[in-house]
Amino acid sequence: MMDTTTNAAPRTAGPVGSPAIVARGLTKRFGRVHAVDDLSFEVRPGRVTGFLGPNGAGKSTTMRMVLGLVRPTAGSATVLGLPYGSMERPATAVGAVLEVQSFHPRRTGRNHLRVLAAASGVSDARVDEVLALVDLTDAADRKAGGYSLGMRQRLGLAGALLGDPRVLILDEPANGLDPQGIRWLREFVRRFAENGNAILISSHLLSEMAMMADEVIVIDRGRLVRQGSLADLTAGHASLRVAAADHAALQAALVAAGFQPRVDGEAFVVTGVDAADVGRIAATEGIALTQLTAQESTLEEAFLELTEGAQR
Amino acid sequence: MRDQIRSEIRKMRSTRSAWGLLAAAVALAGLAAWAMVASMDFGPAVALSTLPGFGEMMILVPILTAVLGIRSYTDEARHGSIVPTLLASPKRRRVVAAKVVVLAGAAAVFALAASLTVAVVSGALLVADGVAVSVSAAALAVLLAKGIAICTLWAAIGLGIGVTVSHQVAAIVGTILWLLVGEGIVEMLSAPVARFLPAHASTAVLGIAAADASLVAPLVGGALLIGWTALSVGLGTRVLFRRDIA
Repeated sequence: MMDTTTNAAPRTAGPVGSPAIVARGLTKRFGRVHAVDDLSFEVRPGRVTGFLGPNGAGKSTTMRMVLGLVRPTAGSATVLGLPYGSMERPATAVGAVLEVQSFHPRRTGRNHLRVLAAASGVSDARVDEVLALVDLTDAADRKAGGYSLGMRQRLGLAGALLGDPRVLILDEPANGLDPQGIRWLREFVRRFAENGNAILISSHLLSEMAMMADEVIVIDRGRLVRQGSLADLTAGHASLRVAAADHAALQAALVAAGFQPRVDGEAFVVTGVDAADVGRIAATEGIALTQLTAQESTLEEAFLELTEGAQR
Repeated sequence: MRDQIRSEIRKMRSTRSAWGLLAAAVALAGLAAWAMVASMDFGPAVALSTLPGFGEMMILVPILTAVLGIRSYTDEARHGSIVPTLLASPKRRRVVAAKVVVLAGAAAVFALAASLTVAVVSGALLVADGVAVSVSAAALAVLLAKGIAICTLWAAIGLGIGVTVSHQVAAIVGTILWLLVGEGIVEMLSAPVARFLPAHASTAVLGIAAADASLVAPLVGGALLIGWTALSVGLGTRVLFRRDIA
């Protein structure tokens, strides 16, 4: 079974409370395409920060700008107070997994990590540690080209952990993982943050993100749509499910009161209203309600509403 | 830069491509030596260092070290390992410098192995044919030094081409075509211009065709080859420095 232990003692990614990653006005244009547009955000230690956006929203480009792989057209980013490109041995500060395949297929998993360990100034003993951490010890001397998608993800993660970093940046790390692997990743990510480290993680699996993230950054078309705690994000999109024997009368009353009821089977779903208001409207109009239920908003609903709203 | 050099050595040793190219260099050198002995009459005695096999070998083997240099970057671009490489070493000039150092060492091994192969194979075949073979250590050392210099410079030229072009097949095919055909075409069009091109300069360094008006003097050839190397590596470094790894 994979070990989810990362660091023995809690520590923080930088001074207490100070952000581990800071992006200020990050902008990237590829020709006439604005991939990322004036994006600013912060990632704090001790929390799991989810990075959400539809495909093509600019998540990967943003991560690559933070990591010095893509040059911003404008703006800047720092990790632990420094631009990534100015770090002498960044692996001890920041680990990143950006692509499922980022190794020579005819190099063994162990040799791939030994190559990175040498470049990062990390001992070979650490290679064995991270192999055990991601449960790849038995496959370490096989050529990485023969690894399954999940094993490739874990090899990438092992590489990111070589320097025992305080900040992790993971782009879609759940891709290719089986349910056990996803659960391991979730526990690993939580433990990593609980030890005072910072983690920025993108995923299109919103249900997974809802279980992992404390805070989310939502971007769309390269622009920031929202940054905040997961609870704040979903709270603003809570809804009520309401039904009445006189379906048409209830709909008319809700519309007259300025709401936009959405038909859902025999009931209506109304957002931005509390139960007392709906009860009052129904009483005033003499409508007998058969159902009035508060619904918790899911991250998916909040996400869709935010990104669709941004596109309108 | 020590970390990067150690990493590059491990990269080279942990896949078969460098070993395959080294085996090809040795095989080519052996073939060149055998073909030379089989096709030429050397009379009763010959000095080992004057055998034309060394010259032929030093035209072919640098092509292989150039391919080694090209692959040093394009393998990484092709398989995506350039991402962890640049994450571990974000100072890109340092990555290029480490690759040049390690390629130089590998190219020296190529030159040494190929030279030894020519010396041993041709020497053995000639002795078997009853030819008295004399060996001048000093003359052989000069040949070896030239061979190492040429192979090393071509490995670095290859790296610069690989980084600049990035696409592996395009870089390798383009370079080999240029070396085997391209400069020949330029020579037909304008011999005075062709003299200054890299393959011509490389041949000039060997000094095996000193009377050939199509080549510059060996020292000038050496200076030209160093210039071409600086241009290729400089361009590659500049391109990599500005390139988005997207």
